[in-house]
Amino acid sequence: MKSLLKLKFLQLRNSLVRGEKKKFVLFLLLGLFFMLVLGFFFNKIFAYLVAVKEFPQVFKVFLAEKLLMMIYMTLFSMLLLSALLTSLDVFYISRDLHFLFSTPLPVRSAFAWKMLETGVYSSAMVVFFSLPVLFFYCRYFAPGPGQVLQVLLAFLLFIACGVLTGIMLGLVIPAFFSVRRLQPVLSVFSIILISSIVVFLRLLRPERFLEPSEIDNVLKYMGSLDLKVFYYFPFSWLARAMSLTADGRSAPYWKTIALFVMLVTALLVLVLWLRKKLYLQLFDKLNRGGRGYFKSNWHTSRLKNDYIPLLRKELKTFLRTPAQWSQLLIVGALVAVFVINMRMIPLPHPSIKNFVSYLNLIMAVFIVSGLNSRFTFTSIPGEGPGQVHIFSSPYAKEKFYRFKLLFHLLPLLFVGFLLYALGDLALHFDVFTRVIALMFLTPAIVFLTVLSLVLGIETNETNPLSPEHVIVSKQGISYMLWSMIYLVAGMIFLIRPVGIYYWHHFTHAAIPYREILAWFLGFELVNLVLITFYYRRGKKLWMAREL
Amino acid sequence: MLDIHNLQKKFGKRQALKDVSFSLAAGEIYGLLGPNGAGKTTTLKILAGLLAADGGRITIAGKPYHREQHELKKLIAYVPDQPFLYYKLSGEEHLNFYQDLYKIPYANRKEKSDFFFKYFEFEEYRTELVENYSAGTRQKLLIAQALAVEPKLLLLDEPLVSIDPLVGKKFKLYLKEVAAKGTAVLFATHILTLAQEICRRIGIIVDGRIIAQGGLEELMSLAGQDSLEEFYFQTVLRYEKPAEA
Repeated sequence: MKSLLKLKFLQLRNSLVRGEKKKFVLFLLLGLFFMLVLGFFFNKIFAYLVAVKEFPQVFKVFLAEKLLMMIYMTLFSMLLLSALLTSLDVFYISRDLHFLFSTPLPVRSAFAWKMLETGVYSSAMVVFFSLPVLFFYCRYFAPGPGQVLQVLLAFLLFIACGVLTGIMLGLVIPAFFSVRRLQPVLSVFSIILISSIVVFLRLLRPERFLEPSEIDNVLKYMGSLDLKVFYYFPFSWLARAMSLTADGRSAPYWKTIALFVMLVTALLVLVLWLRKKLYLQLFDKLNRGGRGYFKSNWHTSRLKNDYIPLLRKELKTFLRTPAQWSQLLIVGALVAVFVINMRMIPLPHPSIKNFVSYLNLIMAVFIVSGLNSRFTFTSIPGEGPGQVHIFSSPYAKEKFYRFKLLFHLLPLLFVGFLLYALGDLALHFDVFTRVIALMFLTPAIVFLTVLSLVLGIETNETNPLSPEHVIVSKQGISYMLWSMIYLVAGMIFLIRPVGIYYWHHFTHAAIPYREILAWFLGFELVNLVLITFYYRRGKKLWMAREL
Repeated sequence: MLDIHNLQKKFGKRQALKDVSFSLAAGEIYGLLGPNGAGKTTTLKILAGLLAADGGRITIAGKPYHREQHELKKLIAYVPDQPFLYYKLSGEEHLNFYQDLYKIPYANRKEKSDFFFKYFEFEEYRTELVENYSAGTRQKLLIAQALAVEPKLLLLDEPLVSIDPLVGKKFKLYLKEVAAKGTAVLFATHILTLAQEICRRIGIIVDGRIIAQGGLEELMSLAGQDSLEEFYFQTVLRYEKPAEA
């Protein structure tokens, strides 16, 4: 165990020493920013709860408990799914398993190490989300050091419950299903869950929390969430333990902790028993592999177009990689939120609509830009070592490059205009806005797609671990940065013609169409130059690429 | 069929190939032997179009060749030293995809697939995704797809490393058959017995330079050696450590 810990430490140190410091700092800053936003949100809620004079202290703690229960119910589902997925990966698929089992390291030590790995990997996100909640809860409801320790103890036991339950399920599942096929299905399930949470949170209208006059209704609504079935789950125990800490009721607190400890012990015993009885057998079963599952339906009748073989290959590999297409569910959730935003947006004056349409364009391009970073950017590195066949075959490399661009560009243009059309359907924009949409969206989407494809080639990655691994490369971060700069610059560039049009429109003066047209043409020209430059750069890099 | 003259390749400051020259007639099996990092794979990769040469001249079927010469590339098939495949395609789909890239007509494809899946004994994996294949089965698929396009120049980089002896034997027989039909085979390997068994001529490459080449028997008799293994060790040692030799 000691040497395995040392190994992890060395891996971390080497990745930091060998040029990944910037990436680390960037992630740290992003994480801190995210925590600050969450912190601001929970600070506002807990501060409000404490400040309301009409509520007695007991009711305040009760409402805080209900709020905590809702939060930890969501986090517990995330923790459970994450621990389940991670344990399937860590205990059955992970590359180092064969190495570990071939060393004199006892199986129980390797198993304990894998448990630790699962615990750390699967709980990191929940711990991250929980820190601001715990911090501000303690600040307002449990300020003493003893109380803080009590909250932390309950939280740690809550994490242990989630992780151990996930591990237990993860160990049993391969007895009934193939891990390799189940893991993607579970990934999709977890993504559906996350997407639902995104839509659910939007439907809750969190902006109401910033409006004290409306918060009463929200709190009453949460107070009514008092389902008996919740009392059997650790998220309810955690909320209860935190609430008891705030009330200073020691005996019931320790009873709750005892409940936690009993569950953790039972789960631990069960997991260790499963290790003894089942784990190695299932590990052997998995390594025997599967047979004859996919029926081949490679249509052999039409081969007129050179792009057809690539299209078939691309669609088949895409649809068979749930980790790829399931991301689209999150995009679907974002689109739903986008439409809800459009419908819920307050319009005190009709002229605001034009401003909204302008923001709608930014949102559409922003979403397309996100899709580009996930799909187009990772597209060529994601080809992996299979690129060897493209390079060694008589297939023209330039055609492959063009195909990759079109394969992403056409659906993205569709998504961009669909988003705009949804906004238009909700708010009925004017004709001029539709012209701006055409003039802005088309070049912006083309440029961002070309840029992401080119930067993806620049990674020179031929064997990526995952798309996420490619996204966090230097070029991936560059893409995100440049796409944002482009978006802001584009909007600033267009402010002038938009301003000219509406100013003349509202003052009923003659609209200087020529000037507006000149601005638009300037925008198109700049984009054309940028697109040509990056397209050629990408082509040059691609053609010169060596494997 | 293949003529390489003064081929050069640099990786940064390291000269990977130094004036490599050899030729290969149609129907000939040529073994490229050498220690790790000698330049065998680099030579094959340049011929396959994965790397660009820094200097020298390559002629295939009498025409100058470079990696964007698509018409000439139709004559070449390459089996890499590692099982690089699209893991989310089934074996049969991969075979079809590869033939699509070569624009092989659809007539007889089915018969060809049937033959190769049976011949290399992985019929039961035909509709299974490549990701579930063992290393040996992946290698069989790579070999099958290269043979399915009926190349005039077959580039093989350690093709038998993970293949079982029975299928290995069948592969060697098939290789001799295709060579008899006029396909030139360039074979990079560490396995000296294999080279001795199937190659008509060999070239020994060390440190990016061909230090000996010629007919197998002719070379060994010149060196006064009975086995290829002994000849190989003596030749490499003479080049790397002349004092010891």
